[in-house]
Amino acid sequence: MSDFHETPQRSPVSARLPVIALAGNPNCGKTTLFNLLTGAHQHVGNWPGVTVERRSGTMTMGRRKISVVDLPGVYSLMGGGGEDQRVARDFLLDSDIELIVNIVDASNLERHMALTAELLETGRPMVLVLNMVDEAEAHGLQVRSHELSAALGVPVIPIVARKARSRTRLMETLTQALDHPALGNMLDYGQLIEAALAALGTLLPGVPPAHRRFTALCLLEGNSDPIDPKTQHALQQISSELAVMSDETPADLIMDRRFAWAQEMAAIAMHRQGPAGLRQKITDRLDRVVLNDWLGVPLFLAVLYLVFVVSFSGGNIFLDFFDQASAALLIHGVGHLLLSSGLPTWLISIIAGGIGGGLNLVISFIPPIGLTFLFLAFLDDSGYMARAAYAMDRLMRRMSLPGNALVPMVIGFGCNVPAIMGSRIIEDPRGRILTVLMQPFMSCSARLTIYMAFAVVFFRSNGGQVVFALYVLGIIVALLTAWLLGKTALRGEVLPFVMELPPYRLPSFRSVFLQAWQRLKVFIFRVGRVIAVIGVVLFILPGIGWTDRGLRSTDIDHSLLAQGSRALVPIFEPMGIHQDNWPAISGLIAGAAAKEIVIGTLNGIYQRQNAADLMADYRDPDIAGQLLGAIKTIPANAVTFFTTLDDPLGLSVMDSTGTAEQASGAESATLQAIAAGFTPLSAFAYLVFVLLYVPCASTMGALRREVGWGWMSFSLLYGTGLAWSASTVIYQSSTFAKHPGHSTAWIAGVLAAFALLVVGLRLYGQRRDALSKPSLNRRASA
Amino acid sequence: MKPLFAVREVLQKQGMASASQIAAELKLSVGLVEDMLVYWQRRGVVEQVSVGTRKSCGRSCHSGGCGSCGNTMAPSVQAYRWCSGGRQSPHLLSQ
Repeated sequence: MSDFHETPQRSPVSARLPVIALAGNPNCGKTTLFNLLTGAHQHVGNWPGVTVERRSGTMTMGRRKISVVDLPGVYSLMGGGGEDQRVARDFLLDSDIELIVNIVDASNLERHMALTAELLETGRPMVLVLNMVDEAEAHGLQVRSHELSAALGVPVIPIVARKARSRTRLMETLTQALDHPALGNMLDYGQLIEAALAALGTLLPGVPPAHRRFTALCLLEGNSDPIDPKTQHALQQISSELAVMSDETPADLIMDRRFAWAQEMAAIAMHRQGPAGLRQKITDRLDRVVLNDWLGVPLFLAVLYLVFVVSFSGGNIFLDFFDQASAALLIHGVGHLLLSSGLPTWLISIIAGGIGGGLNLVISFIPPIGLTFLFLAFLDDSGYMARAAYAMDRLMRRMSLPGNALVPMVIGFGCNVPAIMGSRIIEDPRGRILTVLMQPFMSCSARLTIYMAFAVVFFRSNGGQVVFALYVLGIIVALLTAWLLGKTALRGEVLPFVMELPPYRLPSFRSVFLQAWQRLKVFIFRVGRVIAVIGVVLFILPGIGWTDRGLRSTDIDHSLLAQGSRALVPIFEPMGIHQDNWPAISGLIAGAAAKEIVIGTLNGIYQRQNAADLMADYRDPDIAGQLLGAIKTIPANAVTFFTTLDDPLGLSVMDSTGTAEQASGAESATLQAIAAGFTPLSAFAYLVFVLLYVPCASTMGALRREVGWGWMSFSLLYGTGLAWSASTVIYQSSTFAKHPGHSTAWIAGVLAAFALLVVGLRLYGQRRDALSKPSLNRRASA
Repeated sequence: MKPLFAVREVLQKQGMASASQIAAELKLSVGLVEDMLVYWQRRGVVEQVSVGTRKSCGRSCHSGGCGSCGNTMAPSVQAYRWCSGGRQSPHLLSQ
């Protein structure tokens, strides 16, 4: 049993007693070990800096009395830190010490081993104490002290000082270490540094041989000054040679080797095991793939593709139910109630058909959008989304976009609305505006119905390629738009994407549901208002027109929509739409509300099937039958979902006219009418226009909310102008031979307009920069 | 791997990053990366900055991806920024 007594602070260490110095980083348990060895009761705290001065005590091992010195925590012997660290450094380097006991936190070994490397360099006998091994084990780490001891060349003892675990073994080891001192294996710094150390060592005759290497290291690292001009000259020469040969400073080379060594030693000493170790292994392996330079991006695209497929194909299972059930209740049900109450038919049309129809449109979006939000929340909570965004950052920054800009872009293939709202993940306001303005060019699923109808009629054998080309064109235009705006109107530096990478975990249902609901609520109550208002306008336009008796309810042929469409035909003539094909313009106008209704509008007009007598529906609505029909769509759509999982874009339907008609919602006679109204070239130009022109009402609402009226107006005008320009250039360049002068004039006009746009954007950017500079200067001076 | 130089390269490439981002990229422990960043900070080529992040809807979201965060800012992330004007190594000066 040992006999302990405490010596007063600052008492000189007795020269007659062997000295053991306790050294380690702050908060590694030195004072706890000191108390354990000496029986003292020094205050212990679980924070760094508890010991700010050295203190000593004595312990007895057998018949031998030993002085134990508890030193303040120190990170490096090379310098840095406060007065407390200087006290520790001076004692370790200048005092007579028989044994250094280096205490390291086993649960944080890599960080603590850097000091161990330096202590080994002092050439003093050492014992390494791995403290807090219980915490390391709780983290799934198995301590391999024998392997570490072999690598270091000094005894290594795993203990839990707080619980006095392995105290006896520690005492035995200290006794042996005092009797048979072990100096340890010094770190090999590599050929260049080792040669430099040897060369400097020969210039230090006044320094004891055991300390020459350490002194040379201090000189090379710039932590001590040369003792004479000769050494100084030699040091400068050696440092210059090292810098030339390695392209790095000697200090950096030495520190790099120490960090690498600490990492190697930690890997030798610790083996991951148990559930916690398994979790870490899974994290490591997942990160190896998710953050891989080559695999990270394709994997992310694949994950988002799956989200897209499951959200929009899966959402379609319930889409018809939501659509038909809400139509039965909000349009026909409300219409019936209003008609029964004797209100005028025009008012009933506006309330039931307009407002009810608008709400019906919003509600029918809920299943796919809700599912998208659920999946995104799941990915976010799992810790994957943060890593995916980080992996994408490298790619997107090359295009002046933040890395997480790709998330909304891919979501945009499903629907532009959640894509625009999803742009909130971008912290940088400039990057966010750019990303939002790109979204309307992404081909949403609603545009696909239009692509399919036209592809079936004009590009049967290579319809898939045409549709794919339109998707790619959308991406190219979106990226070019961001690039153009980033170089002109929205110039600025791409802010690096900084975030803490959270650990992987299984998301909780409550958390995922709450996040998804928060986003869906925004869509329903804020974006929905805009959709409802525009729905009213687009309900009125096809239902009323100028007649001999003024503005009256009419059939669609004489409606404001038809009259307006005919008036607009001259604008669309350069892209191949002629006077007799005015319904194509009506389709585009209707498409401003929702792209889904473009084909429906064309269908109605071409078939000359007007829905003027809505009142007949309201009189005898059969709501129960419609609700039953809505319910029946769920199993039918579920079957379709599972049978078309391998074809989420539905391109296979173009193999058959019948299925394509069904998918596009157009009837056979409509397709014949489309064939009569367009040529393949004008049809392609029309599709390009559909891709690029104003987005749907929901997207406009989302744009206004996210970037304000100004950028929303720009987006609408820019998109429409670009759509018209692209379609005109495609049509005119392809028919150039027929009318070269005419085509040249149009193409030149388009190019001139584009040049003017670029100049305008540049001027806007310069003005914006000029306005922001004084503000920045004011902020800087403040 | 030369970890100290690898950390420097990642930060030079990214411009600004958190210790956990660098650690994940290099498969190193966050603690070790922080120590290396502190070393570069002492060398005058790296500075520590606080970066504001979008707050989540109140749960455990880290990226703000749910979009419900509005204008509220969450506690900032401690990031490290590469300072090109700092005291550089010969390697950097030669670039």
